Amino acid sequence: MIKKLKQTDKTTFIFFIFILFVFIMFAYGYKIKESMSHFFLQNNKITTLQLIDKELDDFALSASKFTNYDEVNKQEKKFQQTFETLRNDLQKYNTDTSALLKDIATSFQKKVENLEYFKAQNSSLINSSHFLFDLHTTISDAPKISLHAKDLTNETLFYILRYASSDSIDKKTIDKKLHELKSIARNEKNQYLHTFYIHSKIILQTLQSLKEISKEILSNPLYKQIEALKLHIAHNYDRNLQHQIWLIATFFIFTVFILFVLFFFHLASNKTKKELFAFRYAIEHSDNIVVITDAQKNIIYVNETFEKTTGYKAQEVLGKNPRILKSELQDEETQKELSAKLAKGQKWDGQFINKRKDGTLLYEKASIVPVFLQGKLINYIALKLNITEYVEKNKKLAQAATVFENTEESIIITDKNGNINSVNPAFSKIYGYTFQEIAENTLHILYSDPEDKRIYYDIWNQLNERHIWRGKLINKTKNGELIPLWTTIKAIYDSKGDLVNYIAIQTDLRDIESSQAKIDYLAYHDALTGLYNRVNFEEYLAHALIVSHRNKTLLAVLFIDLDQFKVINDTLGHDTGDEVLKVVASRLKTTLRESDFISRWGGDEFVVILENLASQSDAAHIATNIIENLKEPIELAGHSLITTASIGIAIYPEDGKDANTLIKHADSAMYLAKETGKNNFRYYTKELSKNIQHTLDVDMALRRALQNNEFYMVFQPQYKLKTKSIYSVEALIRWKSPRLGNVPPDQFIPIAEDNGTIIPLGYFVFEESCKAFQKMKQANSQIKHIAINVSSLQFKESKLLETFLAIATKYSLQPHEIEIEITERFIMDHTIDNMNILQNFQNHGFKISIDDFGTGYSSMAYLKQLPINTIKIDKSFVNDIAEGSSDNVIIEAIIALSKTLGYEIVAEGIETQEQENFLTNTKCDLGQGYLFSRPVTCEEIIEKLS
Amino acid sequence: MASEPITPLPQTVKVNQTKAELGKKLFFDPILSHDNTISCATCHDLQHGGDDGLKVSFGIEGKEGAVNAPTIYNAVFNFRQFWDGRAKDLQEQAAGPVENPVEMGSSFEEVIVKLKKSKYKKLFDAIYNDGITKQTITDAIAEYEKTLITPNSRFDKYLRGDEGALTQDEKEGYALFKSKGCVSCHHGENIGGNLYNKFGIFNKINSQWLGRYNITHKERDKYFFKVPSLRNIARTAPYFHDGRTYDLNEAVKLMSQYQLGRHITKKEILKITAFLKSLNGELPKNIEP
Repeated sequence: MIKKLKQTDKTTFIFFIFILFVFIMFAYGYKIKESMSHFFLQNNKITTLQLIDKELDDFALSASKFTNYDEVNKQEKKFQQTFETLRNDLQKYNTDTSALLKDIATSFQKKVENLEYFKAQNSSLINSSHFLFDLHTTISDAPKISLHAKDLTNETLFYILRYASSDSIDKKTIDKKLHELKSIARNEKNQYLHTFYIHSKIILQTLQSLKEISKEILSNPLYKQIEALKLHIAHNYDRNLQHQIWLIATFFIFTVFILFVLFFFHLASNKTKKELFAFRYAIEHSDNIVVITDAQKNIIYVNETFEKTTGYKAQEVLGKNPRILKSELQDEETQKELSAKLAKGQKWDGQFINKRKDGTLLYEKASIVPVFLQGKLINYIALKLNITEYVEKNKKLAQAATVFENTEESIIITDKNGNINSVNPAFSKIYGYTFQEIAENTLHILYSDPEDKRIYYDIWNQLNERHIWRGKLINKTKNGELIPLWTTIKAIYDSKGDLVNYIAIQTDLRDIESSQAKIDYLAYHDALTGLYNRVNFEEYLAHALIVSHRNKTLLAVLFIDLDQFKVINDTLGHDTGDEVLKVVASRLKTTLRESDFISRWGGDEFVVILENLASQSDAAHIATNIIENLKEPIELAGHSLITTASIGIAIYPEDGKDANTLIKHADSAMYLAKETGKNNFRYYTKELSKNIQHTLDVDMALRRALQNNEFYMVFQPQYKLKTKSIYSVEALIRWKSPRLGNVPPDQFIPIAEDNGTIIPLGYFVFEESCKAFQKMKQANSQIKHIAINVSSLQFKESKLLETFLAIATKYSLQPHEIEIEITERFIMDHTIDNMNILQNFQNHGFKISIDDFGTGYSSMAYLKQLPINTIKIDKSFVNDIAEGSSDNVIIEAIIALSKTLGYEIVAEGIETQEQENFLTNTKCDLGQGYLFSRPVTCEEIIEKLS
Repeated sequence: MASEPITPLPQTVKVNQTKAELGKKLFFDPILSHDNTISCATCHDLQHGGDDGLKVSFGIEGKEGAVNAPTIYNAVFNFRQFWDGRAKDLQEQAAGPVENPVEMGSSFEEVIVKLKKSKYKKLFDAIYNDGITKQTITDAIAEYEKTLITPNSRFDKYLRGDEGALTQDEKEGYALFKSKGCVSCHHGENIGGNLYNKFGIFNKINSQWLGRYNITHKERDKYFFKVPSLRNIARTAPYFHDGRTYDLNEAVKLMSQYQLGRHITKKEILKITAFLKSLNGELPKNIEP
């Protein structure tokens, strides 16, 4: 890492060098451009100077010609200005030109001075020459002047003019002529000649000065000096250009070189980057917790595993000291040792007990390394592995080992082939074998009867199917003693589902055999019949359903209820009943297959599980067999008892997928079988389910119906068949439910009995009936009594009698004006205790009548013992009244017998005249039915009575 | 007329007005002299021809100068300044009188200290980065002097084509001015002021002052003077470097004798002076202190 950092620095350095070179190249390029443009500007200025110099030279050649000196001055000024700017320029860019410039300045100054002199002399010359011409003309025309003098002036003027234009004329010749002229002028005393002489002399001097000064001007080295400057800067320029091109070329090559170096560094850095990226990826996704801190131990990086493991988000811990993770369990010694090692710059390895954000403990195996860069501590890196699970597993293992060592239960661990891998001390204590003695043996060594393959076969079968087997085994110890052991064997599978071990845990039953073992057994078995009990049934069914589901086979639950068992129990006593049940149990066992599961649920209820059915009709076949077998008379203590059975069948999977549903549906089907005549069987149907739903709806509605005033009473007259006059009325309840409509009493009364609403409903009926009867009585005192239905359940109310009496008193009724109607079933189902209750009612003056007589199995002889005043012949008998019907005989018998026993007879459900006639003829006392009157309101009864 | 040796004065000269305003204040302010008695305007009376009308001027404490003070008007058009041309331009000239013991008798060291204590401090700082220096003082004055030009003389109007601007005598005077040879020295826009020449080509002029010789120390430059401008010549008597005459006619006569070496009649002189008087131009407006 350090190496890489260094490399990065190097790259940066080279990059800066590169930038510097590029910058220098640009700077040089700019300088070249500048120097070029300056060169051209300078060159132009120099050319301007040369042109001006030429013009000034031309001026110096223009002697005797008039010139406006403003122009010359302008040129000089221009030269001066141009030269000044050039000099400033050159002093900046061409410092080696100062000598040349100084020369030029000096020469120019000299030239200007000479030109000034030239200007002055030239002005004089112009003046004098013009005047001399004028004067010459005047002299030529003057008569007083001698011819010689005139010739002399001619010659002088000629020579002067020649002298002005040529150098070949000797000035001495002219001087000689002038000398002559001076003498003649003096001799002739002529002012013209004298003036001519003076002017000629001055002209000659002026001309001479002009020639000299002109020569001096033309020989001025200014032009050459300017030319030299020009050459100099051109040379400089070329040299600079060459120089700069070389430099640029060098820079360019250097730059390209650096670019290559940078490129290679870039490649190297790319590689490093990839490596770092891989490192980073590795760190981020490592299973190890990675924490990096700065030199001050403040966290600067944590990876994902850290976040996941500790529950802290990175931003919560960045900048903080890792101490925030410290738990109270972390001992200070470790902390000191860690600090000491790190302070020495050494790596530390050890274990932390930290805590997570949520406070739970976190065990970590940690390595902390200080990171040095160029000898300077820059980071600490902590690599930590979460070993919490390992530590905790170890703890659990230690606990388990303690249990293994110390438990009283023998523990045997085998491999998947049954070879013993390990046993605990309790094993050695029970069996007497040390581990060494039985190691690698199979469990066969412990079998008490190796020949009895069946039991072991069953155990292995169950283990294969259910992975667990529980039960009692008789095993053999080292010294041959046979001992009972409550054994649980479990097959252990690994996470892949492969079998790894078997573990057998055995409790020595020798001490508890007689007590605890029995209780355990009883918990699962019916003590009376030896059949499985309900608890066992439920466990078994749950398992059987799994098997059926797996094997996709049909399974049937048969709910068997004995039809007349209660009667037997009540009449012949419990002992007889118990014997009957034992017989039923043994008959079921012989009827069914070995593999079929038979259980008793208490009372006369048996439930059978039939597995592996070929078809649904198999269940019907078996049910028929059961019914057939059970209806055979049972000979017991001199009695020949007949007991039939009603069976409900629910089939898996069609009628339910779980145990509860199947049982419930089988139960429903059983009730259907009972309702449809008993001694038969019924399959569960969807329709049945619907009825059940309806029952539930009624159940719910009933619970609110009373307080919602949904009930009302109607009354049906009971009339004397002889006189056709109303003798009494039967009070009938009606329910108009806002949700279910009119619900008939035969539907809701059984439900009311089931859910307990029958109790308040009973009181309601009783009170309403009494109230109504008081009104009826007031209307017509002929009416003798009112019959009120009372459910058998109402008799369980301890204060029923007192309450009835109180209500009767309330409406000023005598108990004999009230007839309590009970069902035949009540008589059948209830015992002598109940008879006592009825007797008590009768003793207080209430009349008792039996409703629906003839539907039950009560014999007339049995009736004799009961406190009854009235018998009501069931509607079904009346319905069947016809010419030659067997029922006619029964009715005649009932009526005759009742008369003999002193009971009043009421025939219910008279709908035809024929029925009425028949009953009248057979001396039946009272009739009741649509023929005479439907059930009507109290008011209508009153109307009928009056 | 295009090839006339004399050309009209330009109507304007390019001037930095702000500097010129400051220069004007300095021009009229005696603060530039040692005893605060002499200003530029003392010897260059702008209301009277731009000179002082004396043969030689008097400086501080009544000290007498060596030569006649030339007019300041149109000095900008002269190719050199001073009679001997020792200053190449107005700025260089402006520095001269301040330190001349017989003129203002001061030094720039002294002047700058004085100016810095005065209202000028702010004025200079507003215009010049350098504040008050010899350079900036003379620059401001020179800038004002550039405004002191007198264009549109009658003769300039004539040159520009107004034939009626000159009388017949004046026109004849101009013709004589050319034919007699005056124009060989007095020509150009300033009618002189563009060359040196020797005072007294045909005669000895009897002068104490040696002119350009004082500068060049060359024998040939003895008695060489800057040929003066003839603009406003009628307003700038006395004439010549030593103010030897107040009479313009006399001056024309002297010139004919000394410089041209030829006889000239009184009639011719009168015509020439008539022409010379047509050279008076319009005075500039900002000449009130």
